[in-house]
Amino acid sequence: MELFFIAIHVIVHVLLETVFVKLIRLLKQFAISKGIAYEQLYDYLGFADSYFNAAIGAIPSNFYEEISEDVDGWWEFRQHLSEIREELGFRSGFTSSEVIDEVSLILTNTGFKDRMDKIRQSKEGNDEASS
Amino acid sequence: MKIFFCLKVVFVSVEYPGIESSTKFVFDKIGIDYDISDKQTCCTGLGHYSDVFDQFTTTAIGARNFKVASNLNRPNLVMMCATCYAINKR
Repeated sequence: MELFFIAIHVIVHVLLETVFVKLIRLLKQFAISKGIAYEQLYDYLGFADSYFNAAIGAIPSNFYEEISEDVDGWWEFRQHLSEIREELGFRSGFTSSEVIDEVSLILTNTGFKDRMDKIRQSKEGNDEASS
Repeated sequence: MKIFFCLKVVFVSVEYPGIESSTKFVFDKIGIDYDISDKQTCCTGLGHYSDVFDQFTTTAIGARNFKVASNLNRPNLVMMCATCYAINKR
């Protein structure tokens, strides 16, 4: 009987957590659609730029310094990724221009490119205005 | 089982290729029949969880990847990272 109550407790907990996480995400996306918090999103724009231009994301370069401080040897490792891939017998990790065109078209048609431009404008537009 | 192996992943293809080689090694050892495609792209994971990507765009990219797998007649996808699994499962 005790096991039954533990199982019920776990199921309810997981369900509530799932609903809560989805609700938070919906609220965040609603706020972003109203132009709120673009400055915070700007830090991650490097990922979007990489996805749009190369059809694969990448860690934004503004995080490199902190990752290098936190992870010993990470920068050295990253500098030699192409050689490591070659040593492991892999082809280039990058996608063809045909796929890049297809993906960037999707990102444009879903309105994501506009969103990227607005996020960029919120920071760089202000920087230009103040300089 | 024939599977489609999603190996174009930010934290694998771009950042830690050793994960790719070790996963392929295990698949070969246990006799998994897998296929990969240059047309597959990553799941938008970091962009999705940082909220830069909206749900509609992430879903459109996911749909494209499912179509790539379907065209190879391999509807069962295997992901190499937790983010890809969570996003594509949704």
